[in-house]
Amino acid sequence: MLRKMGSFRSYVGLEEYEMKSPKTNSEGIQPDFLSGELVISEALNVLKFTSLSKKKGISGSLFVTNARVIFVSNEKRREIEDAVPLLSINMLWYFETSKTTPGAKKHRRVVKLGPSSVNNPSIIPSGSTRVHEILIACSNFKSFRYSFKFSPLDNGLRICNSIIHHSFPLQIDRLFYFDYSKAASENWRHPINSFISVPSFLEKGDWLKELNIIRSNSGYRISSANEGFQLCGSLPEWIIVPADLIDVKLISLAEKLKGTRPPHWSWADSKGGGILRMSKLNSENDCSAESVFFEVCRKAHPKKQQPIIIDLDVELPTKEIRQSFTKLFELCCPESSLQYEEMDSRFYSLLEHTKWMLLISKSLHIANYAGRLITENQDFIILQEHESRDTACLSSSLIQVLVDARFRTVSGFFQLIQKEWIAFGHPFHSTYMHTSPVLLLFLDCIQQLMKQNLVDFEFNDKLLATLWESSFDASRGTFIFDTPQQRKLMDHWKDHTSWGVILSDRDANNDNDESIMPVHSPKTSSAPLLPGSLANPLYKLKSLLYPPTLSSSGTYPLSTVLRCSSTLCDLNFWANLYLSRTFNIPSSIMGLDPGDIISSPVSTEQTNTPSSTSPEGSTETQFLYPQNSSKSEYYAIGRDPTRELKVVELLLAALSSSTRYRRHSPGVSLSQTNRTGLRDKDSKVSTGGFSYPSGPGASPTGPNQPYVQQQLDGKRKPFIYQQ
Amino acid sequence: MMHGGGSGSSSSGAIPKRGGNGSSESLSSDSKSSFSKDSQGQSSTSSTSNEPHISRYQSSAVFSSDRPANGEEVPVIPGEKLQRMSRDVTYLCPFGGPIKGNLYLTNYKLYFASKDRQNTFEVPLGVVNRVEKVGGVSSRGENSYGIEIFCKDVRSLKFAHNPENHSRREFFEDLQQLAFPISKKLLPFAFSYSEQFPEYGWSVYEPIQELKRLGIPNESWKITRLNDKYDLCDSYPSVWAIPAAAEEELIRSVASFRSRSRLPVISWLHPFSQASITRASQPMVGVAARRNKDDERYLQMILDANAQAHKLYVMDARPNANALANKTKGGGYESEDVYQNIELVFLDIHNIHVMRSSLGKLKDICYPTIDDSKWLSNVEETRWLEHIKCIISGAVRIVDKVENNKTSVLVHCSDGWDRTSQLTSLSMLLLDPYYRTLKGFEVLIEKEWLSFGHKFQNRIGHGDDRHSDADRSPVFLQWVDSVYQITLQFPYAFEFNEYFLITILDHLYSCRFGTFLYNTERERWTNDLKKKTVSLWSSINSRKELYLNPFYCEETGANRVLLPKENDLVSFLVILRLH
Repeated sequence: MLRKMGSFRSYVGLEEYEMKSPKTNSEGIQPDFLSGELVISEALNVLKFTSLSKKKGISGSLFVTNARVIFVSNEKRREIEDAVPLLSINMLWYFETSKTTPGAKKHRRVVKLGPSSVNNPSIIPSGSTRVHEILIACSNFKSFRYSFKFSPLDNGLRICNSIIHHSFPLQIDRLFYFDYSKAASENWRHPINSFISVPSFLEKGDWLKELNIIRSNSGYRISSANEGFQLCGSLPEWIIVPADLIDVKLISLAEKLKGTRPPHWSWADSKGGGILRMSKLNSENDCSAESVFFEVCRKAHPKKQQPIIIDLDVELPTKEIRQSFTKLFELCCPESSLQYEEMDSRFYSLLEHTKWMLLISKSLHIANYAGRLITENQDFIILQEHESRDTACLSSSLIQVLVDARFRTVSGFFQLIQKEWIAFGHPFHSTYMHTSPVLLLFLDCIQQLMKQNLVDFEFNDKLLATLWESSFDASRGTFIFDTPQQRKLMDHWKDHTSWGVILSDRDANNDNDESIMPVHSPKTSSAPLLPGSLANPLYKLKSLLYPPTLSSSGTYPLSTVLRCSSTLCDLNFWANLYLSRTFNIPSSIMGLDPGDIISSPVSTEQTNTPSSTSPEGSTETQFLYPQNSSKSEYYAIGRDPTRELKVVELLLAALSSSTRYRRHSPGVSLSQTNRTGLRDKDSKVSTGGFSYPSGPGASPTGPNQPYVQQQLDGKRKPFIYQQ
Repeated sequence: MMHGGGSGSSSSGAIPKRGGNGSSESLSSDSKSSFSKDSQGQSSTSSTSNEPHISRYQSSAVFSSDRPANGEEVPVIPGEKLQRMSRDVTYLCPFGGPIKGNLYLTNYKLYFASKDRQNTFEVPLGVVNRVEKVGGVSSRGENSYGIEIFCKDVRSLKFAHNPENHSRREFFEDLQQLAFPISKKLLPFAFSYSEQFPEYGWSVYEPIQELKRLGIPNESWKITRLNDKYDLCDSYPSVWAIPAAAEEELIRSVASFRSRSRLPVISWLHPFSQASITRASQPMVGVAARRNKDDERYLQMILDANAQAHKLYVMDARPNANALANKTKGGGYESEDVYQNIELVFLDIHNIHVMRSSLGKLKDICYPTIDDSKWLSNVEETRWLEHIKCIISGAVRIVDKVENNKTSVLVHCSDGWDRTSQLTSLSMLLLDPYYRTLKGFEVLIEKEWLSFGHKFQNRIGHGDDRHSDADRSPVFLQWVDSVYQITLQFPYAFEFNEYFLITILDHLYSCRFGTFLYNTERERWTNDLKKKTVSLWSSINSRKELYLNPFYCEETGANRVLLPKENDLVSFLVILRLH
């Protein structure tokens, strides 16, 4: 149905790039909007640049709706090319000239949206200017550049204004979520993963279960002091407190604490180690109530040990995290290619200047320290923070990931976030405008742990990145609210969570059949389906390398405690997320965009290289790039977890049939010393930050390693991966 | 150190500053020797706080250390003999504090075992760069009398001797003798090493066979044995391939015009397009802008051997200014005015001295302590990564010309044995999947580095006590690091793993194998290395499974050209893990 269009060549500002002539109407462009999505403004003949150098562009239409900024190209009229949730827009640059004085200089202006400019976005003076171009930088570290060169005169300004006005509604009930849930709930069908049930931790039953799991029956009880949110709205109605603390005392203590938030237990083991979060006193002068509480905690401890108090306001100030995030964002989303090249050579010192890595190091250090106290000393940790809603979430969940293997599975990890962040009232909306640097810091810390402990996590860092993106996805209620109270009052669609969305992994399902292959988590059939692209392929090796410990008698099996190094030089910059720009960075050396390289057809004869074994023959030279530059792909440098997963599965299959391995099979399990020794070595291996692909499977980690290698070697050839 | 305080005083920061005391320190110390990660598997010792440091040395003893060390024995490899033992020596571990034990010296290694034999480590003597005495007999204070050993691989070891038993002097003298055999006119340990391996590593690389693999001889290229006695060019191999049209006189004339007679010869030939990579040294142009008609004709022949191109790219690895400066020393570069149909490109890679000081800075920031707060900017300041980036992007440019433009490329620097080797071998690695296999990589090293006369003896200083020799430079290390960077970006394209690269680097210094001894093929031939020493590849190929990448799959890498992103600074963060 596409009409053939006349060719128009523009030499203005578009460095010799041939492009289609601007269309004059948008008839037929009708993208699929979400239920409840309304168009606020639209611009026609918008040119989307696909590289920083502004050399390449696609023509299309741009819509601003109450949920997203949508770009639809003229070529594919129904497919949405870019969909940027309004909540994710972090920074908006626009380039304007005055309408009245033609030929006037272009001005570049920046509008900071979201967390960096709560309540006070600057508004463009309308009427007298023309906006030529906008650059949107999103919280997921992607940027989009659109030019209005060929659009009707006022389109750019309209788009710009509607983004600024509509992206961050102050009242929570103006969020798109409410429009969407109202419109969509009627004809909503369950997505594949909708049965993943993550307890909300807002109900009493969830907490009872939690107490049962950790078998910490003595010493704690469920208090209903906050029933009906009479103490505070930012905590669930049921919280766990030391058993000796009666409600009256709890209430009187809460009243002296910031936000009248009573101390709330979040995790414990059966030997006395545990984590409790509490806010600071309103007035530092009167600390008697606090001391009494600490004494109660001491008595609750099986060995009557003093609790350890960690003051997070001192160790990890929230303010620093916010500042650091802003700098990190500016570093990773530069405004122009010039800026990119300029920063390239100084990237390290600029990165250091953001202090982001330092914050990761600090967070990991705190968690490490606390984790060791808990496991080695059975200490009870009290995390104290201003209102215990920010870094307390981070530290508490990080410690739990370190000490409890349960939280390293997908469902456990989701539960952890639901409990520590959502139920305990991390202020996603009011404080962070849906871009919480604290949450990102947490995810980055987990990413570091993954890099250092290759086989311990069920999922990979793409899941973390997806989780980060869904934290500003306004179509799900999980990360929308500030407090459990709001959630209870306003959320009418509770089973429609982000968790299922994360696991459905839209990107992967669209274009890659292989990645759909679901991975059943080992436990039960009711466990969530984890798509291969989100799974950690080496997780399955874990049981092989460290056979499950025999004793469940409450002693700490060494293998459940995660080791990590918090020194800066061991940390890994999360390039997959932070440098996930949608532009192709122009290759400064060759002056070629990857897409420009033409595959050269070559003859198939004369293949005396070993490549001649390749089945489909070598009809053309194929260039391999370290990453897929397609925008929907998670930017993993050269990595493909789905592929790795297959290798590991074949390896495991080969091993189970191998007689040599049977000698070490669980029946004749390795002795305790051997096992711990193995574990120990591996933790060293990991702290070294071993590069992923050659991970434990490749390094001679233990006595059974050579078998792994040999089997794998033999089984290598059969895989044929079509690129 | 686990203090359980904090009751009542809510505002007390319960976390001690890092690096404050024992165990928190030990945790962070892991990083400093993350090199150890691979070798861990063989270590039978368990986790004391200083283990990470110690275990690093065991990586060089992969095959020997699985023998038990009972009593006061030292595990030895065939040909190794215990020379001296020193009791009551304290090893001053920079991370875990002093450890008392015995220090053994064999003709191959230093071996330290703590009193309880829980902590052991060894250092091949080839790694020793410099030995110094610390303190005198009258020195006050505990552990102030001893020796300090500076190694070629970043670290230094301090041992404190007991002043009373006068063991230090003898030990020091023996160590000097054994660690620097070349300076004492002795043979390095490789000549005593006698382990037998099922594989014969010296036959991994057969020049004729490798040229045949590339399709040579063919109508445009021929194999010549002009250098059979190494009299035409003493730093070149005996066999190489040149354009078929070039006769002997021309070759001799060209050799005379090239620095150290290193005339352009072929390194790699594109199997389909016939575009070639040739390597050479700089032309002796000088300030007077000398010309050599034969050299000009010869370059034209190289161009003509590739029918598809009308231009020959000459890649001068040096920065423009350095190339210019070389004119005053009689060298220089090909002028586009004089040579028809060439295009000259400078790749801006600095010389060995710059690289040496860059690595020196890197050592300073990594060992023994890391300033965590300034880590990133310190790394940037060493410029090591920038240099690596330069090498990779140089190789990428070569690949681009050969693969995309189907043009031939001539690579040279000053002498054509440092930067040139880096560039040719790296671009070949990117172009040809064969070199990405375990065997292919060994061939690549044998061919582009060993046979073409990268001066390993001078660059590493095997058994040589002149530790500040200006000829030393980490050129090969830098190349391996570049390879490592590429393996990170293409995790499935390489048959070998990181441990393979590290093993190569370990034995680059260890002097256990003959592979990296001497400067040129000629010297190796004169000294009959193949008969008298064992090849590193014998050892590696006999335990192949240790060095294979489980995720390697031929299909992705085969017949495909890798184009790494040279701008990807971030992955370079991992670089230091190699040290």
